[in-house]
Amino acid sequence: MRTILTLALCSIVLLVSAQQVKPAPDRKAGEGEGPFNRMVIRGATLIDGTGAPAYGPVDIVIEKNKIKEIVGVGTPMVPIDPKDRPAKGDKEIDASGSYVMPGFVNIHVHVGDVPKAPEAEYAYKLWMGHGITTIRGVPAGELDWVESEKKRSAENKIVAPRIVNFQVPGSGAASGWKGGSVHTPAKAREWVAWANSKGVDGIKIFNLDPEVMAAAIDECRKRNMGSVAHLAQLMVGRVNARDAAEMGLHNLTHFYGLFESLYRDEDIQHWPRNMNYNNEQERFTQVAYQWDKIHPRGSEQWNDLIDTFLKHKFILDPTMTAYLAGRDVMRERTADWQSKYVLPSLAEFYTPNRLNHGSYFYNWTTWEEVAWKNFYRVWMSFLNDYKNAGGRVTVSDDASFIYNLYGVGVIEEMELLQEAGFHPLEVIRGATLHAAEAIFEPKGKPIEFGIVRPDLLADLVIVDENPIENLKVLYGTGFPRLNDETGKVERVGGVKYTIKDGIIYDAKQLLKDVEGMVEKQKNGN
Amino acid sequence: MKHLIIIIALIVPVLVKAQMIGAPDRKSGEGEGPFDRLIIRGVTMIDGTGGPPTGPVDIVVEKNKIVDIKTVGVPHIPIDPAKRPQLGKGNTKEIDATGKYLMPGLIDLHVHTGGVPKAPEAEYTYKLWMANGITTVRGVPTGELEWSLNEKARSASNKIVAPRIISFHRPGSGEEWKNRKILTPADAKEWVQYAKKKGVDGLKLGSYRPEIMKALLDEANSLGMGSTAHLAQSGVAQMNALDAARLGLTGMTHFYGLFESMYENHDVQPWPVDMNYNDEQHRFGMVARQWDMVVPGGEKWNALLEEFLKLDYFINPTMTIYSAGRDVMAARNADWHKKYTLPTQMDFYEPSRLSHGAYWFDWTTEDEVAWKKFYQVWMRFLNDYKNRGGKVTLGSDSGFIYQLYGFGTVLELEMLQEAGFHPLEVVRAATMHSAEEIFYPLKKPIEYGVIREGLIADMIIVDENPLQNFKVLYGTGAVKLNDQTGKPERVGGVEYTIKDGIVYDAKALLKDVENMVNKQKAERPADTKVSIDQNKE
Repeated sequence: MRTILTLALCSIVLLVSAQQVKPAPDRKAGEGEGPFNRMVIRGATLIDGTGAPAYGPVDIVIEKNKIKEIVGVGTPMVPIDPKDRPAKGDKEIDASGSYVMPGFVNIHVHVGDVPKAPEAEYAYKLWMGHGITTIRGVPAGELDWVESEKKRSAENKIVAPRIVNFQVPGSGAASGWKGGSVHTPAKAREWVAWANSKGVDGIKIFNLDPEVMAAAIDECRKRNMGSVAHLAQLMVGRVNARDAAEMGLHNLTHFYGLFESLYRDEDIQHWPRNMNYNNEQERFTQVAYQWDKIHPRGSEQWNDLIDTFLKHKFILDPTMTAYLAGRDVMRERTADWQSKYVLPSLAEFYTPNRLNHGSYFYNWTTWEEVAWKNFYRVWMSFLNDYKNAGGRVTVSDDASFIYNLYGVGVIEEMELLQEAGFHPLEVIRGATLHAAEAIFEPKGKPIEFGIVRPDLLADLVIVDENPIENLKVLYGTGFPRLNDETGKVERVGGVKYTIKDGIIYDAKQLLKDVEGMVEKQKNGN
Repeated sequence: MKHLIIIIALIVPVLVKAQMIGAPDRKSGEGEGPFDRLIIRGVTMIDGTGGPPTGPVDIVVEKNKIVDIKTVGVPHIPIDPAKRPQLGKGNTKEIDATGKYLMPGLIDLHVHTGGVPKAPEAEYTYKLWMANGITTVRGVPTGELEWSLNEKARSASNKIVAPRIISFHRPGSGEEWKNRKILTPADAKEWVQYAKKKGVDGLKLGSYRPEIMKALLDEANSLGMGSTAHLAQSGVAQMNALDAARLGLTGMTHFYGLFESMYENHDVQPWPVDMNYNDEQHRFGMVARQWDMVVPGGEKWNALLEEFLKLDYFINPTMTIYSAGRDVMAARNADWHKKYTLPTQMDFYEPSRLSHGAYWFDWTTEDEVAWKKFYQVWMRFLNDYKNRGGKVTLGSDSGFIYQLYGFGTVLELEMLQEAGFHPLEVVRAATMHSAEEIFYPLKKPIEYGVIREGLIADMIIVDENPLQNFKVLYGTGAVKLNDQTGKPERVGGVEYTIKDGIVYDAKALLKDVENMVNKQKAERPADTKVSIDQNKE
């Protein structure tokens, strides 16, 4: 998303830099507990993130911000013998009957913008309220701003997930980049080196000439930086996903370039004659009309593309959730969370409008929705085939466009992956282990979080329902279930605790804070 | 749907019978006409046969019949008034429909009217139907036998504001059969004769055992009555869609018995061991789990299509009624509920083990995913059937499962398009083919369902192109950005529904519905619980 790069570079850059999103306020007393010298989570059922089946009861011992040990303390239906349990901690969490997972790693985010979501606290708390303990901004905001927030989060001075800072080559004028736009390989290398010196973790590519892109990626690889591309329709005629994988790109986000790698009867997409990329309804409609233009599932070309991706250890980060309104806009517009958690300013941003990116429902008809339904079907089958061949598919939200909300989008993405054919354990692996690999592989380091294992960082999610049985229990709005005792429907689930860096956050309280921010804006305006 | 038959038969029949309030007499101002001569001018016509839109045409209606369809020009050139049909004198009316679209009224072949407590007044349902462009409904049944026949007659003489009513009934219904059961083929034949005499148009069947099914269908066919069947899971093992087609069933409704007719590796569905049909989450959850038990494009699949075709079998899928299964939040939050759904109806939709179709006891991602898969396979079958020349028709079955009368019917149009039907094929399904499903068993040519001289004037006018966007037929309209103001607006919504030559202001009908909803809201005790968390502002 946020591909209005052309636009962004030409016109909005000033706006963005002039009106920075407000950094999160300092973490207040009472916001998060810990870290503790010794904390024990008792009697939980563990989903470790590797793809292993759930098992429990286990006691999980955490020292400061690290997982110390995971101790099996019994079998289901048999009382736990207290003798076999690890020693008492300074903090004890009774998680009997609850499920523990690694914190979710959301590798495609933007924090906000003025005026739609002017305070970083809002997005951070929505994320943390949905179990997200790491975000990768692509970008999260202006370079220095992100570096500052990244540091504050690392020190737990603010309530926020860990932040990984990816930036767009050529950006950063407000942070000291004086080299202008990036149009040559040399300039690309210069920018990457500069960004690296600033602490930037990787690059986000929208639209670069092939040789410039290759240089940028190469320089990233030399410096242990990551790379992800949204191959904008403006450049995809020159570099599709296959080309990008062969160039050494680490991750592909969205679908751009994927279908183009599989065209049957065209090279460049055969756009309608009145196509104008700046008309977003056309732009997003034409995406969907690719669904039947490609070599079909299981064809030689299809399988060969999968092999190529595999060979390059290419990670696909689809962000299906970002486009979900395209197949049923009424559904997204009226979704349960809209009234409670969406700021009026953000709701206004979503409303059909030719100027706001992603608000392209100018005349969104049955035709567009049907095309998107078909597109999803084919796209999903590719993702599932890639996963089945051993490829990694990650989870992210790209929220705050197209009726898509921070945090909520991650859970939607999980549901969509299940729809694509992923078992919930494969889905969770995509949101944890594989997403963590997307961050650490370019650094040439083993993962530091992303699975529940001794010595890794204590980034965890606790929920009192089984997410494997039903991913919907992870939504902040919970899941409506009939209570047969009362005959009434209740909302159950919702993440209970999000633990980041050994600090325990009450996820429901975070969402309450968000609700308060929404209320405040409603009353203020 | 509504085939808690067993339950209904045991517990609620009295309730259903006694508590359906017929529509009030049509008041002055409700509908204009019929006219000695009515001319709809300058319209673009979608005729219902599959022909492309054509216009401008002037359509002349005399009393309740279309008498002339005259092409009066070509696009972008002013119409020469001299060449237009003249209005003449007397009781006449002209409608300027320049730039608008006209098509046959929708024919919804699968409806129930509601009833106490969810929607006690037929007026509510009728007006929702008419406002969403429906000019004929086939009740399967609309309500209790005598009541429905009475309403049918009142609608036929336009004493009430209602679509035409085709009255189908379940074997064994009717006053005189209150204390009888159909135990033998002879009983079955006797009931069909009885129903025919009462004026019943056709049979709504379940999955009866073969000899009863045969007797019912033989008799119905010999008497020129139609038949449709919901081949309930409880009996489908001995009566699937193909078995029923071979016995002479006019058409099937829903999907029941369809997948069962082409299982690859099963005969009876391999139910889970704890399956209980009366647990509706089981029942509806297990429907979807059939999606990978058949092979699209496989030998059995193609053979079934061929045999259905040979038997002139109609398929009336009512995809809309199960659509909440693939996304219950979307259905629960649909735009129309706030304004047009009675609180009592909303209550009925909410998860409950007692209300039929309220099976969201613990409806998970996995259930929704299974339904998404099921729809993909089902839709492919319907599209394949259409492509081979088979007739797929329009039905909604609204009033259950978060589907609202009228709105659910328009949703079915969208779902047919999703299945691969071109909008013109969708319109044909909803008009001409649905009319054929009514008239085919009567061995008569259609009397409506196509815009053609000599046919009855049942049609709708809308100021947007429904082929471009079926959403414009929803009473709530479609969202469209106005580039003059930069703001999104709601456009469309049927403007006029013309039934039997009488012109109804569709938006006024919707207003009436809105008032009924507001009235009930106002009259409800303040502490009445309204829905899980919907109908909230």
